[in-house]
Amino acid sequence: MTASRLGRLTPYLYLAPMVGLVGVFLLYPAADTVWISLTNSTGLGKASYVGLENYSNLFKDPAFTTSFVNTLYWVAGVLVLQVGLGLALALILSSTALARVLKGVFYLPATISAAATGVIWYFVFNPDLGLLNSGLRLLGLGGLAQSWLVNPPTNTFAMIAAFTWQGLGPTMLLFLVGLQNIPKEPIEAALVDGASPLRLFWHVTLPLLRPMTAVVVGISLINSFKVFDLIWVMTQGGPYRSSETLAVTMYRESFVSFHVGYGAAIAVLLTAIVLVVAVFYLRAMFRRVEVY
Amino acid sequence: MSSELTRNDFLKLGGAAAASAALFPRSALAGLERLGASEALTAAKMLKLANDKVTWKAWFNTAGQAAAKAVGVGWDAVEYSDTTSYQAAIRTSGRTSKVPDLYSWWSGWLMKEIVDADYAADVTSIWNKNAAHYSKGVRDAFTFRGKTYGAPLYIGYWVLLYNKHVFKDANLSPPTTWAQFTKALATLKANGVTPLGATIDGRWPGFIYFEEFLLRSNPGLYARLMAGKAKYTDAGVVSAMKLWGGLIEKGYFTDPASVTLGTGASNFTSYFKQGKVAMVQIGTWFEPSLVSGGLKPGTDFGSFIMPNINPRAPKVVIFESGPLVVAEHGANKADALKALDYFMSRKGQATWVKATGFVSPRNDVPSSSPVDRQLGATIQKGGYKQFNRYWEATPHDIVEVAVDQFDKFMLKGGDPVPILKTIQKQADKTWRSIK
Repeated sequence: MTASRLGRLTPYLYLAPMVGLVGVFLLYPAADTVWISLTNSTGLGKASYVGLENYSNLFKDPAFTTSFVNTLYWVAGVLVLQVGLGLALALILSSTALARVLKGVFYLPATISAAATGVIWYFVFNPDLGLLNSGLRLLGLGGLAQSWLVNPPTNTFAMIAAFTWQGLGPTMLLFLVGLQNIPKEPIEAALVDGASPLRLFWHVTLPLLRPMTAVVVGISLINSFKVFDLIWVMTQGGPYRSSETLAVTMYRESFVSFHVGYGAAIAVLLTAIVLVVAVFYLRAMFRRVEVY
Repeated sequence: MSSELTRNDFLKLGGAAAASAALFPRSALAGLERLGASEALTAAKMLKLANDKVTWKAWFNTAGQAAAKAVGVGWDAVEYSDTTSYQAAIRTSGRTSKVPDLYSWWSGWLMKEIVDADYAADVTSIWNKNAAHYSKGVRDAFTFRGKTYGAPLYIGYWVLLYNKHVFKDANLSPPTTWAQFTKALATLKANGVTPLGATIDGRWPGFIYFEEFLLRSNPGLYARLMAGKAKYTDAGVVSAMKLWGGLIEKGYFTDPASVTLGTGASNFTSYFKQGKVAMVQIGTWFEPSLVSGGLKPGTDFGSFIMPNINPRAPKVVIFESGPLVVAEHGANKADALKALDYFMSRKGQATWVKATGFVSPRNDVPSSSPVDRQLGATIQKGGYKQFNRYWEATPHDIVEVAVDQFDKFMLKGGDPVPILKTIQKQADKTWRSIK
């Protein structure tokens, strides 16, 4: 082999191990999942090719519709609560002397696993002995006490609250970092020009925070689509499949009901949705960032 | 020659140890660990017995060691903490020699799946040897196309477990007719006690009262419904649901969203122990949970079979039994069959029942619990016809939809017809794909 040919091959040799790993552990399973989604696999014996039947069945399945709507609740809820509250907290803490202590307090839930968070909040929402209903009764608001994890869509909202409790800390920290990196000059100029705090925030701080907002919203968006563990611990998607999301439905169909082909179809659809949303979102965000 | 351990010697020894660990099966190493405890055990072959019953590990190992001593083949438990991942492990390894030699499973339609997939060994000859000592109903639950594919790992009769002190305080004794039963419900309710425990915790308990009320109204209809020869929308099924709904409306059941069967402050055992709930319809396998909660069988709690709603119906009782299966493609199939033969023998069952406190499906092995002994005698003397539990008796695709719908009915009540129509829709789809 000549030196020049070896030289041309060198970059590929460096790439080969990683391409191999990605191929074996990501691309092959992904391709296999797509194939399984086109079969009637039950995880036992041989499966037959059924074409797009699993995909067409998705749209006739009321459980899938509920699951899809719940996923939209999660996306909207996480964006509004986790991102919105995270930003609000970051703004408050950036102007508070106690910021150092409070940052730790708000970040603490993020150190707990999602499963443990689920267990904690399962007890908080217990209708009989739970902290929430007991507190409401103590305050004379017993009329508001209810079975939080039973009635849809309250059960989904309750779990979004638990998810927010856990995810607020990292979101807040990212926004705090973003706020610290904003140059002081435009803010000072706006203050000299007499901008009110609201106008200052809306027209100066928020646009300058956009790169960090892009990251936070992107992460939250993907997390809200794939949330599974917290729901599985708290309700297992129930009662009567009323709190399932696409990720939970995918797991349940694949590993509880052993409709492996159908579960794979949900997995493919979920991946496609996340991919499309992420690509469009990131393109839109980074196009705007370039303007500023 | 120096006696000092050189670097080379150390590496060789380390390599040998690592190779041993890699090459020896886990079961063989487990057997070696007990070297010296018993010569019989040392010589025995230890198989792998996979299961999803983590709390049974000590029981499995006690019985496995007894088998090793008795017939030279025993087993070590390989437990999975999660049923879902356990099922997935068996499903993916069932056709390979990596499959565990023995494994626990579920009877009925769930078992049919693994039989059809050729995952379970034919154990008909072992059953034939012991036929006189086991109920035909239990054997039928493991029999497909004339061949039997598993030994009963446990059997549970579905009865009403009741708090004896609560009954005594209300001046009640176990009812023998439906009229007495409903009167007892009203009396308990008037005494400030919730008569019946009910929960949707874990989804599956949704079928419990449906199954019981339908069976006690019309056993034939129950059997036909399970086999796809009747419809959920049939008048008899609607009527059983309406009866259930009526009892829910009267406040005879616990809030199904508040009570759990498992751990935690709101578990059923604690309510039962405190006398807040008088009864629960459940399998006899639940008794050890009451015992571990500090209740004494025969003194603090007893059991009785729910009276028939239709007085003309024959004496019936629901049972459930999970099989212990020999892997058809297991690496040690012959040894596993030998181990199963021992497990089904009188000696094997006596050891198992002593370790677990379960009811033995073998009629010459008495239970250690006075409650179960009395129940066993009642079933045997009364000539009770045994029906397989709903969970196993009908295809699982129907069960999965049905339990969610029953949960919905327990929470929301109201007209049962839409609930039954939803289940029937799935039943039509499932039976169409089977027939």
